[in-house]
Amino acid sequence: MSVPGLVVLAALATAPIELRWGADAEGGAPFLFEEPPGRFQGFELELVEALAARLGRTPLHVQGPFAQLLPLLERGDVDVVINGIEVTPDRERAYGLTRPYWAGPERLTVRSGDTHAPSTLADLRGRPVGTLPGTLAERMLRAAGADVRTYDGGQEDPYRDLLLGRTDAVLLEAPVSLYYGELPGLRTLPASMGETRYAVVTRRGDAALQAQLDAALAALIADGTLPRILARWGLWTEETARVLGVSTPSGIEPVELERWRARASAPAWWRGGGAGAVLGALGRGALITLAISLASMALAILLGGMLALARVYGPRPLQLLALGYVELFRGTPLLLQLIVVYYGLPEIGVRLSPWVAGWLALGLNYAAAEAENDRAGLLSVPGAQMDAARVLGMSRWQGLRHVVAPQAIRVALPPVTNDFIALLKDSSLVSIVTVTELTKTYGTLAAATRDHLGLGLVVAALYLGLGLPFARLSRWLEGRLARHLEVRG
Amino acid sequence: MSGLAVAGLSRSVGMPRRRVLDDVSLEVAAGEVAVVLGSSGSGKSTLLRCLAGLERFDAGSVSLGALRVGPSARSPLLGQVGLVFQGVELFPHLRVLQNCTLAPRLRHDSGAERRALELLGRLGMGDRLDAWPQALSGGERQRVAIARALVCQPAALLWDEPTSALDPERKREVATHVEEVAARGIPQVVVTHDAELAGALRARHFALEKGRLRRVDAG
Repeated sequence: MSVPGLVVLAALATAPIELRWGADAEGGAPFLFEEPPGRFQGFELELVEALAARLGRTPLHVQGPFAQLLPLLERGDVDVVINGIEVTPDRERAYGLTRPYWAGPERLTVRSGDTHAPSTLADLRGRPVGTLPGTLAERMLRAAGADVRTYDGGQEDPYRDLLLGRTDAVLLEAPVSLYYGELPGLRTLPASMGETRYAVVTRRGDAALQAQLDAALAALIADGTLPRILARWGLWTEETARVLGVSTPSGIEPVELERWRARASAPAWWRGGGAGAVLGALGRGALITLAISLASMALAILLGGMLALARVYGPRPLQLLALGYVELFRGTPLLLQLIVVYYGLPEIGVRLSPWVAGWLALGLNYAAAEAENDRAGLLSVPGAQMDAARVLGMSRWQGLRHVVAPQAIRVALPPVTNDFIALLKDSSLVSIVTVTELTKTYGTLAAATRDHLGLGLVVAALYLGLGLPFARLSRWLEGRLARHLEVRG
Repeated sequence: MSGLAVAGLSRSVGMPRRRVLDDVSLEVAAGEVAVVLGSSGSGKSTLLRCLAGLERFDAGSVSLGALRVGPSARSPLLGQVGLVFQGVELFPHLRVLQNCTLAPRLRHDSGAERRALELLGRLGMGDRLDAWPQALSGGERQRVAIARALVCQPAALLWDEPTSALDPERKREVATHVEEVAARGIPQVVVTHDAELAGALRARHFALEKGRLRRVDAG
């Protein structure tokens, strides 16, 4: 073999493959968060980078909503999930879990001034207690007979509700309570309520990757990399020392935790130099929202028009088929359709990209609504109009195209505009198939900047800004289409 | 210009089958007018729709010059026979001239606009070419409908209750219009229950009762 050939082979052999890892940046610190916009940080990001380096692979973050991370893994969109996933018996059965990379206590947080504050699990029976869904803490609370409130929005939400008096306590693992539970007015009890562990999740059959990751973790523990990361983020615990089998790293300050705490007194995002980056990120999110909404609406209008024609003019079997379509897509939640299209179809061999799945689900769903609008429009035109066209020698198609449709559109247009604005808002659902649009961008930025109100107002303005031009355009068109009705002899 | 001949036309509808037209025969020569009198439910509308090609029939035939159409076929008559609808049915989204030229333009009939202008002018609508149908009076709308039908150069012209939507003083004009069309050599069938109109027309008169057509006078 020639020398250049060998060089190519060697290059191929060492060409880094991606290590696609799923995590929800909206979850926030200390796991993974985006601050400033465009710059991700978190102890799990550092862990992934160290693991990938050991494996000779390039880490590639795939953004997914927390509740959908494991489905994304099963779907094959990611190779691993690293996002504070706790070790539980059923997860150990269903997935390939590595050895833990962190272990620590569940912490109970209460209001500082609350004289009746619970202090043990037994105290929680029958009382409203907040936590995050799918956590070990949630199971512990249910077992303890607490009135469990779970929050999908972010890690800060249960603590805010506690502060507002809507719950009496929050139970969550130490990293969450450390980063989000230390609000003024709250107090986290020093006692451990139980132990929990985080592990890297791989697919059940992916034993090779699981073994490589276990070996890499062992190496990162042995050379002190993992203990250093955990100590810098203030996450080192006795339990971790015991589970990892190493002593507490010495001389490492929890600099990242201190930086996080210092940010509470930092200027708001719009005061510092970061405003441009925040607005830029929101602008990108808005463009993605607009793009997917326009594409979906185009599909909905096209398909909806065909469905309406089938229902009004089609032969009986076609009418029934179109009716079935409308009832099915109108009568079931868009969220369900989106999950089925993205996570369900792969089970029968149909794998769609996130964009195509989001576009298709929104378009198919809104086609049902457009079909009804168009049908109402078609039915508003007296049947004799078509007769008149036919008697004059026009074909059915010509009659439809030149006589019925122009009159039907006037009736169908206002609800179509209404639907487009609804679609703009519903497009936020595509974040569950990993498309980071405006609302998801907002959630991620709000979790990082902890400014839900200010950013929320900016995002509301952006949605209005997207929808209003279409409302204006529609009113103008309506006026034009109704010209012939405004004249009087 | 040749005539319209209907022979043994029958049509049943519904379940159980009900005869709406029962062996209807009628001959209308070029330039001749047949007035069909009948109350509602007599089968008048069905007769007109069968003649215009909008509905099929079960037995009999419709002949239009050399064209002979039997049961099961209906489309050959579409576009050959003009029909002035009871509700006039102008296209509300099109102006007067566009109403008259839309169908022929779709057939690439280049002479249509010239004929439309001439007909509309003759019917006194020459200064309303750009008006919307909504802006016209009932009589004006009917004149546009007549022009629209004639622009397509039909081999026969049918009228469905032409006076029903008109003011009393306008009703008289209908007879004039029918006679003008007759002067062009076009066979016509006028369905009406307006005795005044029937009396004003030089025509043979028929009555349609329960689907059966019979001659009522010698016109």
